[in-house]
Amino acid sequence: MLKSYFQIAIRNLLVNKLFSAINIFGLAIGLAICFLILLFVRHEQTYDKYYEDAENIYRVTRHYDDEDLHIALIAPPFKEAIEAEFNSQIESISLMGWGFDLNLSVGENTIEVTDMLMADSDIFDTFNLKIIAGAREGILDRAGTMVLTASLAKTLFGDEDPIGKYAFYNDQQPYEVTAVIEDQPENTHFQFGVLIGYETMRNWVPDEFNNWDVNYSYLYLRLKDGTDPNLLQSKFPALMDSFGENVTDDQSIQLQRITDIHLHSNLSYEIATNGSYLIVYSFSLIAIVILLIACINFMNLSTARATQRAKEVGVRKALGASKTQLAMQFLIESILITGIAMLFACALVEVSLPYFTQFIERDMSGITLYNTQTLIGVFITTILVGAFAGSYPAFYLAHFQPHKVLKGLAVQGKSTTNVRKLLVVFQFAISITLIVATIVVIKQIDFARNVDPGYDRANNITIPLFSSKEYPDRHVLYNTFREQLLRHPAISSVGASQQLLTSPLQDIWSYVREDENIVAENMISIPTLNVPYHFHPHYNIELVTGRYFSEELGDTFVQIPTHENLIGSGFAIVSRSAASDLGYTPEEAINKYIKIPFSPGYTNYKIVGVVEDIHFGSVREDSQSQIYHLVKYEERQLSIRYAPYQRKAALEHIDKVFNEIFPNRVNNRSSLDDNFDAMYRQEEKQAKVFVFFSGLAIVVASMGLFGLASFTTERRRKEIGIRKVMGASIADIVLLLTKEFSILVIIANLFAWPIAYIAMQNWLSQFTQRIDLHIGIFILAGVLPLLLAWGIIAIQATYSAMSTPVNNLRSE
Amino acid sequence: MIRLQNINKIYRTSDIETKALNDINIHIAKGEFISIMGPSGCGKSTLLNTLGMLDSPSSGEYFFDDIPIHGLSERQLAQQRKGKVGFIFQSFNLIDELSVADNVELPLLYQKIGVKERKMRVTEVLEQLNIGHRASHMPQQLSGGQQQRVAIARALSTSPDVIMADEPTGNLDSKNGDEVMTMLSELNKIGTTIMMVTHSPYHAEYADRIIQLFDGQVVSQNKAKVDVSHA
Repeated sequence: MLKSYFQIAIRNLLVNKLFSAINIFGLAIGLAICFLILLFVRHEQTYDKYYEDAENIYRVTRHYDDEDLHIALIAPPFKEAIEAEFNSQIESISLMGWGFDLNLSVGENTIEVTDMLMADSDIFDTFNLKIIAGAREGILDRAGTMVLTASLAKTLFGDEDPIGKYAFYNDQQPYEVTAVIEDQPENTHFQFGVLIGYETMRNWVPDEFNNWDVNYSYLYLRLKDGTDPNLLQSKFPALMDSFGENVTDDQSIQLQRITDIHLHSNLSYEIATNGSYLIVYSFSLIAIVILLIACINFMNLSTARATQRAKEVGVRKALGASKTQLAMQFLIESILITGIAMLFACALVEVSLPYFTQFIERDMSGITLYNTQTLIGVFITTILVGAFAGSYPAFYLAHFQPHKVLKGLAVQGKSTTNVRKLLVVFQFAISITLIVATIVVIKQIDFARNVDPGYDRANNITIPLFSSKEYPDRHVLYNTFREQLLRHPAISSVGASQQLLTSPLQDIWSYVREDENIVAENMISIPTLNVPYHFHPHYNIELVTGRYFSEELGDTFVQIPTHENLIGSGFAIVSRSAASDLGYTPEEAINKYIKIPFSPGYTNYKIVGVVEDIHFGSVREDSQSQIYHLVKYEERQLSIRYAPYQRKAALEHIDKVFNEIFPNRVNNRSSLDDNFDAMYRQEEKQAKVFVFFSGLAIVVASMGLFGLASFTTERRRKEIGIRKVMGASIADIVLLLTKEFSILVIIANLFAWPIAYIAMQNWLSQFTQRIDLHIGIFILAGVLPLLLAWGIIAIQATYSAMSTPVNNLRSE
Repeated sequence: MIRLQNINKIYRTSDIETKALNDINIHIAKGEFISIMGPSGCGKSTLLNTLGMLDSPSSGEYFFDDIPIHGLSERQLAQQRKGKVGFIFQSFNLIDELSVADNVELPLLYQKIGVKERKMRVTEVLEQLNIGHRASHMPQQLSGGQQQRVAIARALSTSPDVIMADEPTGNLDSKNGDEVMTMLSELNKIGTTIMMVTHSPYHAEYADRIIQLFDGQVVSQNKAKVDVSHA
């Protein structure tokens, strides 16, 4: 019996080559996408599971409710306080943080390191990092020590044993290599090549280790087995209360399991941009939707073909087949088709996996496709999808009455037609929603790229500045660089700042007005940038009132407080919103002083100017208030503006000067415009994903529509024949058939528009500046599939309408 | 009015060639009533479809009112038959989704006749065939005889010169069959040319002339033996 089923199934596949191709190809695409997405989802879920007993490792994060500020960072004193209070529950607790870019050199070999982290030696207990060379004892206890990953050690020292040897930080300070550890896996939320002893910071900012307001560290802890993290967290409020005036009432600290960070944490100052569970969910949803569309195609096409199978059903029933037997036969057939589709899908996955991993920017080289688990998964999926896709057609076909079908009476009822119509509406609604999403994402990226950030980003080249042996003083280096660059007429202006304007401001300082006391409740947190004199005119940042920093008028660089002089001094420019945060109008703010508590006293800044707010980072960031400090040694990012149309000459000169100053360095210059575009890479990728997926969804849905159009023309063959005999032209017939589908597409729009509107409104809400969801977008998204449907149906209908009408009537 | 010269119609499948019409020569004058008879598969329907311009001959010449029909494209055929030819089928071929009136209106619609005149014509022919009271019914609500009346009404709605009837009584009982034949005779009397395929020798006798086909060839074209117009 089974053999006969298979025989008939294969013959049917061969007889209806077009339908078989649509079914198999559509299902193969759907299955392949599901397969790839599943690999992606599984990869995303493996983040930070590399660490031993990762479920016991937590990060402590800090939250300022009044300012709606939630940061991954924390101040150093929390470590000791938490360790002391919860000693019995905590296995180990470790401070990490303050990573910045630096140069490391060994002999002539200099490399730029962008993944440095500072860490205390407890990190080895908290994360159980695997030491390859060197001893655990005293590993990062001292200032000036560092631990390298195996690959970085190899790059710096070659095959030499690096333990006990020194690498030079920016050509000046020697750091001793105390250990080499295994390379970190790709799937962790904190990537690093080098760890520098946390104690090193004590030399730089000796007093900040006791400052409760300076958040520049990450705090990780490992709980003892069996400790309830919720119970621990419930004791945090009481702990915070015990800190008295050091923290305000609106503040809290929270535990965050490290395995949740990659997908669920989106705090300010994450170590690196994390993934997002939303992406994982939406990818999964889209994959399922595409598979669903393919299954719907299968259902539609199979029932559409029912007329052709009706006779077989009639004969089988007349010869004694039961309904169950027939249903089983058709189910086996659909599972067989799914099986063939699955083979194609596996081949597709195999071929596209490298492109896919590149596309999603993940290293999934560790994933093997060839194992029993995959095999079982593939087998079960084939059966499930086959059974699902085949369920409706099987029971529909098995239901035919033998006496009717054998007499050739109509087998297609109204209700099945309605089911099919509903399925088509569903397919189109999905396609339209995806098209809306695609258009919105593309338009928003375009808009964001063209938003005026409030500073002049044209004709601008940036170079990271690192001090060197010849220029140990960064300030001197900057001035030398600047002077030499400005000698060339192609260079119109040179400035610098502590960081690029294309990333959100890294520093947030707590300010207190001159007329208020330095207590936690009077502190106002405002993002701050350290700049040299020429910063504001260089970037053409609009002055509201007052003036820019001026050497001539006696503005001097910041003097931080010392034990000899407890009150430091400096000059500041505030943005319009920052002035308002402080409670001043722009005019009132001029010549006022603002204080920053900084151990052992505080620094007093005189406001000399108010400028317009500018936008740091992408328009995703809520970036308004800024305060600028006039600071020496913070010229980390050089910015060079060249005269219009002088790019080539300017670049030649820049490279010449760079090579004179740093004969052995790699020149990492980039264009500010490129950095600006890079901010929207994530959105661009989302756009690509949407375009790709909606493209696929539309292709699969179109294949189904093609099948359904052939079904409809088939069903209405007699009517078409009659109409033609009555004088209908081909155009009349095409119009008749497209009308029916047009109505379905219009209904699909009614469903799709509100869903797309809500979804995209939600997506857009992450941007502080965004496009309007104009009705035109929806109309365009609705018309596109309509045109496509018309095209497909017109071809089908024309084909049918062109055949001699008697052929259509003869079947009677 | 109609002249067929050496008409052949050949159907080809991959390995079989069937000669459905073999060297047919027929002249039909305006106002004639012709019956086409013959055993199953002899080519009756093919001949009627060719005459009705629903199908093109493989070779030979066909003139309708001295216009050459052979060699016309499907589109040109459609143009030629509009308004000139009305069709009646054994299985009525009404569109199930349309009401009686809408079915009758269909050919007028495709002739781009104004709505007012269409409605008038529809009412007229429905009255003429005594089914005016069924105008808003759907085809399935009618008996076979009534359905065939609707089909005749539809064929008449454009006042065609010729009516092609393919076994119009084949699906009807004798009483309804006779009624349909009477209607056709009356139409013929007022000048409509009628060509009818039938299996029934009795109904064939309504015609002025009976064309006998066998294996795609005309074997005889005799005048009807009995005058049954009085029947």
